[in-house]
Amino acid sequence: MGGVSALLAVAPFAAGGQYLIPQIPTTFKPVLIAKKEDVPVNGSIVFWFPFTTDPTYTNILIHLPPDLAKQAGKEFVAYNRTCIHLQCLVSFLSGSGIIGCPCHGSIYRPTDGWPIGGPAAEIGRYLPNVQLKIDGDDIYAVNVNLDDIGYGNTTGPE
Amino acid sequence: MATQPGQSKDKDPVQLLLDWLSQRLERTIFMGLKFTLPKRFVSPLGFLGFLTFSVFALLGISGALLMLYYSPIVIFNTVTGAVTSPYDSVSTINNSIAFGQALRNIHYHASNAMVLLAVAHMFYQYFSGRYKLRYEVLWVTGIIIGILTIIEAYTGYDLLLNVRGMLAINIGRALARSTPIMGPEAFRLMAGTGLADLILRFYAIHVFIFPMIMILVMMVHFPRYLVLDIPVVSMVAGIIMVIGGLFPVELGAKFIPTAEAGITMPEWYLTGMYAIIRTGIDKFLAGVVIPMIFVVVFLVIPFLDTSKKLSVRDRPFYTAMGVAGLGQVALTTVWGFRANDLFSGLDSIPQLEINPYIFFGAVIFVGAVAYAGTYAWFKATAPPPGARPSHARKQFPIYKMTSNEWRAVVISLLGFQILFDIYSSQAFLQGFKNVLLLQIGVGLIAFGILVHLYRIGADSK
Repeated sequence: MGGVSALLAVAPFAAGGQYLIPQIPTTFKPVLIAKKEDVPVNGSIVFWFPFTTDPTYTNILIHLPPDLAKQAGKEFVAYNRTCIHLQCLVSFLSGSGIIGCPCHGSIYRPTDGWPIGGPAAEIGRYLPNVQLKIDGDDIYAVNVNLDDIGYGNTTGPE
Repeated sequence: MATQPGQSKDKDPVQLLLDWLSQRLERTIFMGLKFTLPKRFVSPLGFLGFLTFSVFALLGISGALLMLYYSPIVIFNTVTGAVTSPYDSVSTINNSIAFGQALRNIHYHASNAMVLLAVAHMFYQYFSGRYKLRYEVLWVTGIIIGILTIIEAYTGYDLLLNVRGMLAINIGRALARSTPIMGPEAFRLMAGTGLADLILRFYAIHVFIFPMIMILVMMVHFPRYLVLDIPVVSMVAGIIMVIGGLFPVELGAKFIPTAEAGITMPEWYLTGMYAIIRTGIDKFLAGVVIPMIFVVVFLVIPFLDTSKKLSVRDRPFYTAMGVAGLGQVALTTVWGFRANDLFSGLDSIPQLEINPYIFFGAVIFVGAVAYAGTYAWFKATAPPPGARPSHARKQFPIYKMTSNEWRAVVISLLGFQILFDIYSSQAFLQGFKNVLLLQIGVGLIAFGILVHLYRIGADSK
């Protein structure tokens, strides 16, 4: 009885943890990141989304070459750049058609962000996918799951 | 005017003031502590804790002064890729502000000294058996202060936001995020909503929150009897500054998101953990669970070893455990700096990955050899049966200097003093580079020696 009442007395203060652990949004205002012609086939650009306070909020927009686009079922894909191993920043290597991490050599598939080599492959989670909205010629970034950044995503892009 | 001895009129006014002050201090907590000023040389091993605290005080002073110019602001320019970073302010402190370089070097080398002294203090007290028989609270609070010290040092070197700091930040937050329960919350508790938040949080933790917690725990950890050995304290401060003068700490490369990372090492007190992480086993297991096992073993030892025996030989199991632990710490710490092959240097990225079977095999092997070796050593050097343990300590005879020797020493020290004055004025004219720190350090060491000579001189009268 005493324990329960003590717990009830303390509970409102535990809610104060929200001060220490900032709440993060799960939806964002779409951001225009590029025009289609800005990204050549088999090319990529880096963009910041949804915030600009941390390099782990940089992402890559890749214009997939036709064979990969066929596999992926779409022409443009975007991933968060934070490697799921130890949070270095990955890049799209157009020569070999892979996403590579410079730190420990993790390799990801550009079609869905699945790790196919290096330490990230042992972790086995997708590179967080940035949802895009294509409106005519304009490419917008719409959403990314912030909890997956630097950790990986278990389901992959839909 | 005739006065009787012992009357207050007779007394030196300075002495009167000191008496007045000490009577008033009786009302404060300060007099609850008993300070011993040793009259002759005593082994510093016995008061490593107080030396650690002295270095903590030195860190507080130098850190407070560094705060006047340090700026924990991080802003990324999304168009040009340029970064406004605390690195810029540290660079200003280091390169353009008078005494800035000296202060930064004191702060950096003192942080290393504090970790080293704290670890040495812990192992010395461990082997002396001073964790049981009513020392339990001192021991447990000591372990807590030790962990806080390492985290404090970790948050400190991240605050530069150079490439090395960024590696440590990335590993730290990857570990926080890999927590099985409440991982996202643990991550945001540490990192807020991004690097800018993280640096601010680390700054608050480093300059206020953790030092305050440390001071509070220290109030419990302080024993009633303290040894304030001015010569040794002065020598330790001097050595820190001499090392700072001879090996000035570098700024490292500024962290810029677009630049290649290359190979960087954490500070030496974290390379052990880094080696475990490099084996590629689960991050949370490598970076949190295994280090925690080590800490927990040390935390529970006073509750397992309840015998009244204190000497290393009378409790061979715990002594052997300590030696094994020390061996494993040494091995993993060295391996953190080395390639996959322990015997070659780390110069390319593929060598970063350590083979977990060889690594953990070697760690277990070293532990076992150290453990068995301790027992073998005790067996080989066991006193003959029936011999009574001798408790008499080796006493070195006090060397009594003649008054001529005494004069010669003081005169030559004064001569050195004049030389240092000349050197320091030279350093002043040359614009205060690290020579200054070297000289302050040598000066402090000389001061320590002088005080030591004074006390043995006064003793031998």
